[in-house]
Amino acid sequence: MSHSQLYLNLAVNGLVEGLIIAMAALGITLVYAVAKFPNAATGDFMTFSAYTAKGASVLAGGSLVFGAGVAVLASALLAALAYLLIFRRLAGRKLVAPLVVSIGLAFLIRNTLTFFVGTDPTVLPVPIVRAVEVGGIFLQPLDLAVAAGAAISLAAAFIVLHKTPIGRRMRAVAGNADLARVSGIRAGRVMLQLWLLVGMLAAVAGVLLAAKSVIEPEMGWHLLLPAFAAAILGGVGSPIGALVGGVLIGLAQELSVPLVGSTYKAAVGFVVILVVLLVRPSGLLGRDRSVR
Amino acid sequence: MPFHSILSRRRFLAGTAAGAAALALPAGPLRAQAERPFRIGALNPLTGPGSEEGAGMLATLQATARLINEAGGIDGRMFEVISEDDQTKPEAGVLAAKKLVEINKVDAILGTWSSSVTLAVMSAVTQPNDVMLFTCSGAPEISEENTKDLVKRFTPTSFAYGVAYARIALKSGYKRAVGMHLNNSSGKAQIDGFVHEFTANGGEFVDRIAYEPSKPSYRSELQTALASNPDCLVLGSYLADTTIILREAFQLGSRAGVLAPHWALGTKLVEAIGAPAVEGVSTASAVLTKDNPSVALYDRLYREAMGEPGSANAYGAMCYDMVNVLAYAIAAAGPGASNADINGRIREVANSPGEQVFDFVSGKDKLKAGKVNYSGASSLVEFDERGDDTGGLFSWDVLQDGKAVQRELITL
Repeated sequence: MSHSQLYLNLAVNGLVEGLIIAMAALGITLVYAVAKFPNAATGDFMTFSAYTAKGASVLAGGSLVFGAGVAVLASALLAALAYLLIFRRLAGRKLVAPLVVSIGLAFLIRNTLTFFVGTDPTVLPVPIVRAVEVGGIFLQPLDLAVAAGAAISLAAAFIVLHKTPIGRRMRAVAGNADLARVSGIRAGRVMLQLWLLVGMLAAVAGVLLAAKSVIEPEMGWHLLLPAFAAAILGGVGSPIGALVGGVLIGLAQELSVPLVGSTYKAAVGFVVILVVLLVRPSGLLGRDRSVR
Repeated sequence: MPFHSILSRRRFLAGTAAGAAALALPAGPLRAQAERPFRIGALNPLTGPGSEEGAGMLATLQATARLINEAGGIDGRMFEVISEDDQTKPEAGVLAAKKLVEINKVDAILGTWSSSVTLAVMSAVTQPNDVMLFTCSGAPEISEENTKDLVKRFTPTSFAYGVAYARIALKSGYKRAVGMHLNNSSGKAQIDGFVHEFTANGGEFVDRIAYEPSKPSYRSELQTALASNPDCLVLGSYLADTTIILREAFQLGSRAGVLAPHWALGTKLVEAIGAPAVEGVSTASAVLTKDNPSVALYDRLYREAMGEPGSANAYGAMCYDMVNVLAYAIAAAGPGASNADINGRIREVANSPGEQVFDFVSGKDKLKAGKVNYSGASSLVEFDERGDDTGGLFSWDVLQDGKAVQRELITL
């Protein structure tokens, strides 16, 4: 394998991982834009959906599609419950209160899962297929499926946000909640729709991550840091920014492996953020607050 | 809370008095005519994560000491075993060790299990004292911090596992190896051991990649490792990362032979990624010595104490060896010897050359005739200059159809 082929391979890996990070980052950025706090439970919604997919597919005799479907529904339900039972009561509080509560919710989900399933890693019943080599680049059928799944669900999320009345109302509440209310938009309903969407996004991200990797109680929690980094890099509150940020972080991490070693690849993503934020404090695609 | 504090102080005083009375009994004038007993502090993980092993370890220490005492002790000097629970926790282990040393005046502490406990106990008891510490812990730092040579390790180190992997790689005909390991001391030491042995015997080691735990994928690391076209990939890993790496290696169509730790290659791995993806993977696991009277005697003692075969608890076998090695060293040092003298005799009685001996009762007369070489149940018991046992016996196992099949036995 030549040098350039190695880096092309690493770029492919980074792209796939970046898309999964982007989905988590989109969930974070949406909650931040509309509900005005960084949701630290995003990663554990993913873990919850990965275990749900595993359990449902085992019960259904190994059908992964069925498992994923159940996981999406269950995760949307969990996110909606989190809103109705917890975050709705904190509406209007400053950022710290819901942030701390979301960290608590993350612990609750993770430890409840650990109590029932233990800490041993497990996997989704995905058949192992050899990679297809194209000009020295190894393309993994599973990765193509993961990338396609991520792309489709990201596209669906964007269509909902920008082409439907639901999305319009969400953006209205995000822009100015008071103005939205006097225009006749019911904020509670918008919030519920937001959490359902965020739950589904986290579910797809969790199932794709589980298909590619192993399922562990901490899998989502470990993805939270790069996802937050991606959201900040892209500009908090900007959905397109989350996508761009996720892919950039994924690429930077994987391409750095031969250069700085695997141990420091997590740090590379943060160096990227540091540089970007020094030049553009609002992130790549974020709007400067003073303009609003 | 005055009421509470009075109550707890009373209870504490009562407990201390009872403990002191109990301790005074065996050590009192009853044995005044003989030499002071050699006091063993049995510091085992009776509760906590190590509890599955701890009870059998303590039972073996007690049974082996009793066997030697019943046969007249060591030239009349008896063993006395005082037990404490380290709870598999460093804080509890240090408190218990200090109690054993300062109140019970033990001469040696035997049977620590968790590396974190051993490291904490080491710095607490070996530095100002001359108390020996025999341990079953594997962390490389233990040898590095064993500056007073009071610590002896009865288990193969992570480094020794790496040496065993290298022997297997050389026997398999591999010429060019890469290593990937979790970025912790155990993973690093396994690859260090491999490189040491592999390159000393003509192998070429081309690259090592340390990686962090809990990453969703290690494919970039793997592709970077495989870019140098090795014929052998050595892993210093645990289950979760091994699952990801071996699956990705299979997907990439890697033809490099794989060596991985046995603790990562259980049935869970085979269930997760299927037998074809792990076919032909080699590993080394520490096994009890073969055709050795020590194993038979240990097995009998363990069955009597615990009601199951000795092979169920490798740490029990180590504890059996600890008491026997100690007995030989005490006998070799002669009557009235200091603990430092006894400690200085351990390699003399355990290491080759010398006449091979097994349990102390059957072998003590040979000691009078000349130099002996103790061969134990857990290992041949050979200590290197750092106090690590290099006499471990490894089984080279190869995964076939998802099951580990023994290829041959390997001595280091």
